Amino acid sequence: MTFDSFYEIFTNPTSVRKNHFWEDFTGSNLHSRWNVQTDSSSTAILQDAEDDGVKFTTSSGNNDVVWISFANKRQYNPAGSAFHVIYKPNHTSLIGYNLGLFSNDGDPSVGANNNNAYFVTQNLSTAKSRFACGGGSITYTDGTTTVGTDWVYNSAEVSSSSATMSGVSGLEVTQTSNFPTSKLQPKISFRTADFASKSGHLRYFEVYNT
Amino acid sequence: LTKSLYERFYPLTSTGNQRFVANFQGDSFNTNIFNFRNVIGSSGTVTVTDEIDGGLAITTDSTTGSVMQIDMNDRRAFDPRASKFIFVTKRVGTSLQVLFGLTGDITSSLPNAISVANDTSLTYYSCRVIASNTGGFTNSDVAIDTDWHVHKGVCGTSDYNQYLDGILKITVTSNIPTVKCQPHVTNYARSSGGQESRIRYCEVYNT
Repeated sequence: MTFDSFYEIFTNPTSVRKNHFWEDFTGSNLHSRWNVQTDSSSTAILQDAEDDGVKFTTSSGNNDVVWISFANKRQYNPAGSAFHVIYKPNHTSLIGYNLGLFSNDGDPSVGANNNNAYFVTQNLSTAKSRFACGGGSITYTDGTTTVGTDWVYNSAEVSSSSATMSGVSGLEVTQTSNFPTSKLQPKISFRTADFASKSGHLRYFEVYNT
Repeated sequence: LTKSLYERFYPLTSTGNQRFVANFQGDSFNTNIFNFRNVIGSSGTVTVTDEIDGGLAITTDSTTGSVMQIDMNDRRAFDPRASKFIFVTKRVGTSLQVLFGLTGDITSSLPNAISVANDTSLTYYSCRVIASNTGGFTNSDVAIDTDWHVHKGVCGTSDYNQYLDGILKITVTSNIPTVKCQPHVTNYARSSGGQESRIRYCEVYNT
């Protein structure tokens, strides 16, 4: 099936399209739409390697972190949005890798900056994906996707009555209370929980209001 | 199931034409793609909003008669007689002419252009089709408002058809420009105070 326009792939032409954004992390430099922040000299650099996307590399101080966001340009709906990510940690312990939509673009190693959000992270003790979602505090629920050092696909969606996380095998987590309440922006953060440099990759991020 | 985005638009036996999409997302306005200019005035602004589905805010200088525009700085890759455009926009200002579509020029008079008009001096959504300064406005039967709408323009060799929310509203068969064009949004302030419009999607492609 072919389409006349991008618009008509996703939206009936009689409907007004809501926000929809995707990023392939390909090019000479990270697109300027991303605001890169770090509390040290950690980096976010596009890679010269097949399918490797952008690589987040922390410095070697404990809790050193790098994150990218939209600098508080929050156009996504906490009661009606979804995102998809393809990511890969390069370590199985002593890291924190959060990918999703957040109200606050502040330092993610400060816990309060992760409230009012929904995102994908990991339970490193069980090597499984983990869904994080909430308003004034975050509810964490383990998923079933194995997360090691291979590429992982996860998606998540919130509505006014539920929040879900899915992976390649389908629905993993359904949450029926404690949703974000403030407008949201993309934010991806990678942190070392060690006195050693750690790294992870991201090659796709898509988000849209539903 | 197709393997490529290309095949969503074209059979592999054809050569696809120029196509462009902007979502106006990110921490700031991307000046690598769109240029913004105070055509008349000096302090107009272009800002990615901090608002759900808020898109990009284009605001004129505070003086009456000021003109604020985004365009491609005369990188004109589109054919006004063989192209289509889709814009999702809304007017915010209460005394404002917003024109958006294709223009061959970046001057304030836009002497060669095919544009959708949301103009507070008119009663209805309209189009402005003009070639070498000849032509003008044609009304639809839809009253102007300040809501988001999807506007599609279909530019042919001898006619221009304009759709509002998927429904054909205007057909124009004269004064179709012939010069190469670029996408534009142009705000003309009909009164003082800084007049704003929004855009959250722009797609243009040659056919």
